[in-house]
Amino acid sequence: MSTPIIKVENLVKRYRELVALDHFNLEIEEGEIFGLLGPNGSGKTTTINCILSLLSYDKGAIEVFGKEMHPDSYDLKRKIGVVMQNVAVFEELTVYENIGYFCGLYIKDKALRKQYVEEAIDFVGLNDFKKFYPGKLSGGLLRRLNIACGIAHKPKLIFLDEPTVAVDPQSRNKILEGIQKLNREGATIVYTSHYMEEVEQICTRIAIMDKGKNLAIGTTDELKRMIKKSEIILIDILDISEEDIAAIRTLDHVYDVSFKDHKLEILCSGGKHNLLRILHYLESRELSFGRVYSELPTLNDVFLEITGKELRD
Amino acid sequence: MIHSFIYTLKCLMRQKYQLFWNLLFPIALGTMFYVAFSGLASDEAFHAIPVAVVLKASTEDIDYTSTIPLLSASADENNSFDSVISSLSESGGEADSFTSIIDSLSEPGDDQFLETTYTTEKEALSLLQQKEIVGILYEGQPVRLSISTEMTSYKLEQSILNAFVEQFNMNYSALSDIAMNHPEKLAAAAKALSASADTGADYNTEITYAKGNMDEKLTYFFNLIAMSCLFAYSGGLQVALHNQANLSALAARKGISPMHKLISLLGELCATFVFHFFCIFVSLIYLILVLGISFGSEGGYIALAALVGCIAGVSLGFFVGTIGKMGEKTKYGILMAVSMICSFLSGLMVGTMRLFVEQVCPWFNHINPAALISDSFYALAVYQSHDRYFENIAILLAISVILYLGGFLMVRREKYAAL
Repeated sequence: MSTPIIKVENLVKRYRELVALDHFNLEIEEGEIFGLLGPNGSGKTTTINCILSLLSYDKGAIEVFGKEMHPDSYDLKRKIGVVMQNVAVFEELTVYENIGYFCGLYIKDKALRKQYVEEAIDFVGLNDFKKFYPGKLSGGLLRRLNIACGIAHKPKLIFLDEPTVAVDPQSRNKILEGIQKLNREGATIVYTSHYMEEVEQICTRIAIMDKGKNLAIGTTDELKRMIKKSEIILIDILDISEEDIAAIRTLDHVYDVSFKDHKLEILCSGGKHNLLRILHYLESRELSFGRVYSELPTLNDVFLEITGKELRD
Repeated sequence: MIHSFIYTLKCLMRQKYQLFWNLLFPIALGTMFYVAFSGLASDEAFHAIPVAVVLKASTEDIDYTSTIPLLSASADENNSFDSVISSLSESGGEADSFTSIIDSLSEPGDDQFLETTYTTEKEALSLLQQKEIVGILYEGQPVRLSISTEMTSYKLEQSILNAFVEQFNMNYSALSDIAMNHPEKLAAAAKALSASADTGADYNTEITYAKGNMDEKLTYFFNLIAMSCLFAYSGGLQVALHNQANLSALAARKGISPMHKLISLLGELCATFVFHFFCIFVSLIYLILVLGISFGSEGGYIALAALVGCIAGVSLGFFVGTIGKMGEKTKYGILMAVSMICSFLSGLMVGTMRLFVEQVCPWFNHINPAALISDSFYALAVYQSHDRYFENIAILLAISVILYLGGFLMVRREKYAAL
């Protein structure tokens, strides 16, 4: 097995009485888009800051590229790019100059730097705004500039800390596409968000965090398989007897049935062709019904089942 | 380091508030000082007093508005006594001596005392009524002075004329007595009176060690430059904020880059010195060349004092910027208060404040950067020796080194407990 690009063992971080990270463990392989999913305050940013050696921690060990990470690990830092949650650019420098400045912290060769800056501007689609000052950019464009500043030096490992917060849908799609492109070009991505749709869309593996703990880790499918609910079937129906509800409950893979406001909700666990089996039963009982929906579980369902609360609570 | 230097300089040059407070404000305040002090100087300047002189031959029998008989000659007009002596020994000397003195006092020039019109009594009274003249001098023994009680805004000029006539009559009377009773001692007496007038009857001689201008108003301009140097704290504070990950997102981003923090700091601090020194230099050039304020003739030393002043100002901002987790605005507030208090105590608002501090708390003037910078300029402008200048520069550098070391010790922290 290859050495993980990031290895976090038993990490504990306290802010006085508050335990921000509680024996947190994590391993990220090279080439992944790894998602850290959790509500605000769950410890995602704290984890990243500890990995980057910006924050001190009380206990645990962190390795990046197979080496222990320290504040003076300049050889490791050279291979890392970070896009902070807060936009961190100079108001007095233009888009081009900002990217040039941050790229210059990593790349000394002027010609190469210039090339990288141009490529980063092209990558985030800011070609028409090169000479703009940050104050003149919209929220979405500012986020794109923030990303360009973090990735211009072509790092092998990129941390993106909630890069799509307060971003319009167009910019969000552009950002998500860009992240996937960076990954295809060879970068390993660590992506934090509380937007489960985004994480589900781009991440190859996901860790679900809450209260500083790693609750579950795996691919989207693996996480969904961890919970009992695998399919939700909703059927518009005028009326149904208690006997019929009890009979549906006895069908294979059905573990819960409820009827409210002319809607029949059937929860299934595993199995195939659940919808077909239920519709066949309704027909056999000559029960007339309207629209039928079948939903697969989301990461929110996973989070709900693990923690007992909604991801966005 | 060059990378940080260039971009920091770019940022500073584009920050409008930096340009305002460090470049425009000193120039504007300097101009205001200049205008205000010019007004004071013109108010203080002496102007020749317009008088009418009525000789005996033209005197008519008219009622006077107000007549005051006086006996004196002005102590300023020492040359006149020689002519008095010579005219005393001649016939009709009284009239000649009087007119010759009046003529000599009315000669155009910087020291012109009277603006004289020889006229008839009637015409003189008319001029007085129209307030064209301050008083009327009547030839005679004694010489008499008429003034108008309605000219209340000319009390100072009236008093001066009064004193002049009193002195003239007294000296004339004394010399007349000597001429009659001890003619052999007349020359010696006249010489003594002339000598007395020469020295202002002051037997102390002032010896100055100064080589330049000791105009007190200059200290306001020295203090203005000192305050501008302290304003460099804003640059130092910015450097501190941009290099502590717990104080700004920019610092966090820089903190995870492979650039060594010390190198980044040095580049940024150097750019900050250069920017602030440029601002002070432009202000100095404006004060010296445009307003004509004298900072002495030693350009190199003036520039050195300004540079060291900037270094001290930046160090102050850098040090305060590294202390604690207070917000940017709080730190700006603290630094603004410190710089204004230091400037006030060095005499920016009240010229004699530094002397007062010297009396009640002398050690403070030796640690107050504003007082040290201002005193460096003062020492250059006034003293021939550079001892006091170099002492100030050395103390400023020592203070700066202490502040920088303190700042570096706090910034060097590489991991933070909280961001």
